[in-house]
Amino acid sequence: MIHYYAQIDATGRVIAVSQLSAPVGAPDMIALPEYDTSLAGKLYDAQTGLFAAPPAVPEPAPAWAWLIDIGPFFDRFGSAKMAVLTSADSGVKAILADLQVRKWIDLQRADVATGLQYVGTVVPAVTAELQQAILTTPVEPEEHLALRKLYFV
Amino acid sequence: MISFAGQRGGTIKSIQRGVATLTHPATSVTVTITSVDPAYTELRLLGTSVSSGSTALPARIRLASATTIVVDGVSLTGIPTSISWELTEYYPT
Repeated sequence: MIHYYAQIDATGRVIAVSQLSAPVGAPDMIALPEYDTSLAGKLYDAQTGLFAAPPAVPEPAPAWAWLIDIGPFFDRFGSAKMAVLTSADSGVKAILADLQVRKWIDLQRADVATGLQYVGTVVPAVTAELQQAILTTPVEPEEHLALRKLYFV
Repeated sequence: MISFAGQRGGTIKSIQRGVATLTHPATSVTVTITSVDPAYTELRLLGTSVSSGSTALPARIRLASATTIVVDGVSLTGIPTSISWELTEYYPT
């Protein structure tokens, strides 16, 4: 007598489909009517007794997802851009100089957020809302076109 | 110790087979089987495959106990690796 089983893990995922020579009594062994290897990797629903394909794994974000070219970064200041670029404050000047010698700006770096906060204390137009928008708005393809062409693709 | 030739010369008692699936980041799967006598059992790796049709990744299998097979290998994110195995248990000669 041949016995067919789908073996599931703690999450209900089928980790093995087996054709065994005798019955096996175990809660993780789901008896099958036939040897169906297409069930491998699927998720078992104990309530319905059905197997379903697992949800698709989202593509991992590319390394450059939150990297932005220098120009587009300053464009994100909008109408406040010129006030920032022409600021006479030595701290703002130092931050601008630091930014402009880089190949790109990583919007997820803590010191970028800190720098923006400082600029906001000197240039009132750089409000907390604008800082948040600059840092958290997903980078559009054209905003990091240069760095992707030069360094990633 | 039973020689391999001795096993081959015996009468087949049972055959079991299956497909184990490794899903990233897991690198090992323990498969339950019907109890066998490891001394009279031959386990074979039939092959590995991946759903995307790309190059199959290597894997290895072993009879860890009378009731378990351990499959070791790797898989890529979102691309499970399937490992096919078959074992034959012989009557003692």
